[in-house]
Amino acid sequence: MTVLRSYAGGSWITPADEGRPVLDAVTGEEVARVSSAGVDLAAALDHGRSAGGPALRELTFHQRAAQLKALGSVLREHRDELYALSARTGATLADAKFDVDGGIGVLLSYASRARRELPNDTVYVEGPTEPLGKGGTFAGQHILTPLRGVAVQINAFNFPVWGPLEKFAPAFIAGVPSLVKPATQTAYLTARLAELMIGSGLLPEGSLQLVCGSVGGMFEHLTEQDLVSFTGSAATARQLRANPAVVGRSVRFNAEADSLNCSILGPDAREGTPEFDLYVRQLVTEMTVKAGQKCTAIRRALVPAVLADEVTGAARERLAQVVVGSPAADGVGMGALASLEQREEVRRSVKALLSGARLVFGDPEHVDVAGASAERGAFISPLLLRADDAERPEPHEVEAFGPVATIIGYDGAAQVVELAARGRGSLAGSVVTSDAGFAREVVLGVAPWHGRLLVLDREDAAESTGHGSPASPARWSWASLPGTAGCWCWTARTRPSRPGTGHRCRYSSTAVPAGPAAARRWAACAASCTTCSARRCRPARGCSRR
Amino acid sequence: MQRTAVQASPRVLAAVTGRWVPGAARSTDGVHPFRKSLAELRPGDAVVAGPRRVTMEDIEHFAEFTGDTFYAHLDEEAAKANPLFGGRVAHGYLVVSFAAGLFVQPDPGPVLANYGLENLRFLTPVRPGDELTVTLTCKQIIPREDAPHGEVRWDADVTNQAGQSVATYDVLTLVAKQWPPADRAGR
Repeated sequence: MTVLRSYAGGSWITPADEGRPVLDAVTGEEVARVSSAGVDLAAALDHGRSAGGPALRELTFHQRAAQLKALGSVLREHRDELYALSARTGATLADAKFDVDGGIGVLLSYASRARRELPNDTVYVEGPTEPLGKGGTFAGQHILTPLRGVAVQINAFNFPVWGPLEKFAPAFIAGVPSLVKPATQTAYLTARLAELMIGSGLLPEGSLQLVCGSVGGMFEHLTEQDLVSFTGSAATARQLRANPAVVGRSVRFNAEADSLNCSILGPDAREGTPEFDLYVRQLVTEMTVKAGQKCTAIRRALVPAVLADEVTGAARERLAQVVVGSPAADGVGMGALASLEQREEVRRSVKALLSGARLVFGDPEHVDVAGASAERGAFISPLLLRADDAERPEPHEVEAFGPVATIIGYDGAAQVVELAARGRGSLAGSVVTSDAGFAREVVLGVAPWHGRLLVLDREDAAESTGHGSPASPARWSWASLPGTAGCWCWTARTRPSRPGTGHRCRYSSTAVPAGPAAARRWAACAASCTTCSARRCRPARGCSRR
Repeated sequence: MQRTAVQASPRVLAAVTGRWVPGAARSTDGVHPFRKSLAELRPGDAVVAGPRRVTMEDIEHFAEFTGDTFYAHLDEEAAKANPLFGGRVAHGYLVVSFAAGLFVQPDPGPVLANYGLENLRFLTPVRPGDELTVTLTCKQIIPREDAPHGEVRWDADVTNQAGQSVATYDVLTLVAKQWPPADRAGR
């Protein structure tokens, strides 16, 4: 048994009590105990403000970026250890790579973007100088400077590595110290990550603190310069946001909670078209990757009513091939949920969904499991539902945070836009169609409810990173960092060694959104490439103009 | 406003945004896009012009004519020592000027003025003997509510004989909404 330590106020602290047990998601054995008893939370905040903040602010954006990059290299060397711990959370090796490699990729991407887009200075000058007086003696300029507080990062259980890294990296670049609070269920993995990060010796003291266990008592000590990035349930978010200190001192609070993401099939995508296959494959992938425990996973499959039977049949066929079981067993395509409590939660949600839909694949109470016990481990079958009445509220309101999706039929673009909006705001949505006119109508119609939208078709499928894991920055600008960096995960895909160089060039493969500044990016890309000879490394795809 | 990251093929991004996006199809229907008023012009309308060979005489003529006698264009020895060029190269502004000479349609028409150029980057050195081709593509059309003309942003991509981009930029023009103008059409 391991009692997880916290790192606060400059030292590792062993909890003052026995703590709460956390069980292995696959075997049910105790993995660790978690408690924050004995951690002085107010002192931890003060330490961040008085030690971490000043140390970070001494560095320029580029110097911070260089430290992040070095940190990414250190973490890469410990990937196998992190994968092994991930397996105890129920994650298959593919799930673990998604979380671990994705997290390290985010870290490195922030480092490279900072070098490309921010000055080698401690202040970010945003936009052009604007004349404010006719005589030219009075002008204006936006500048961005680091907040003097602490970025309190409360993370969800589903991405124990990616979650903390994607919040820590932008805060670090921005010059704001982080205090990371992992979700108890998977805290042992984040705690190991933090040990590696702090143990690397690369981070200025106070720039990263870790509190395992409750941080409830911390909120009353938050100030106007602190900020909170929360990922978790909507109910907890509501409760924290209403904290008197948060309200009274206007503490910046960003919540990233439940999301009833939809994936829309176009009327053109009949059975036999590449788009139909892409749609079904993506739906099943989103249901089973990380056992559906992704804030961006598809919950609502909105398909033309006339195609609903075909989609249901094709999805059932694919789902039937998914082997559920221990990450260690052969051929397993889907692991366990993060905990037995989580399984109960999913079962409760599915029960609620069944008031408005019927099961067309899977049994919430039973699943065949390879290499483990279905009862002691937090296993559940993929569950596909079908709502015969699109108007029923449940599929649009109840999020089952597991391998669960509901097929809902629609008639026409206007109705599908209206149905999508019933999710009341989503992180990610996708439209699968090759009809550009339909894509335009639906994208413009549902965009106000979405952070990110993917239009998938036969042209972009090969390079697309899919509904749930964007490759390009989904929603951020430097101006909003680190406050609103939530679960807007993006991965930096590395590509194989370039012929003749023997190096991997990250910059050439980070997908840069096409736009009027493409040429500028292209050149900036070439200039900033430090992983290989800048002049030989020609950013190709993504940065190129064609 | 809500900020949304849209990810799609260039064709779909173009449809969603109403702008031509690099990678989306271009239309070269035989009519030079400078002959089209805003009523006829569409994002993606393009002209490909060239090739034009750049000679040492061109470079020397341009240097003498403009007074830009920077060593990288005129002094072989010094240019060889330059870590970026390794030999004499054409002026970037000569490349841009040649490109204009290639894509312009000279007759009076709906294009009223060239009012600027943005995001210019010189990406690959142009050496004597290189052959330049320019592709000019209508990228964005912004009609002015209170004027008989609007702004058109063109994507300019100058390439060499190997197909490498040597210069990329946006050309900004003012284009008449109708051509010939309504008040003259009846005469």
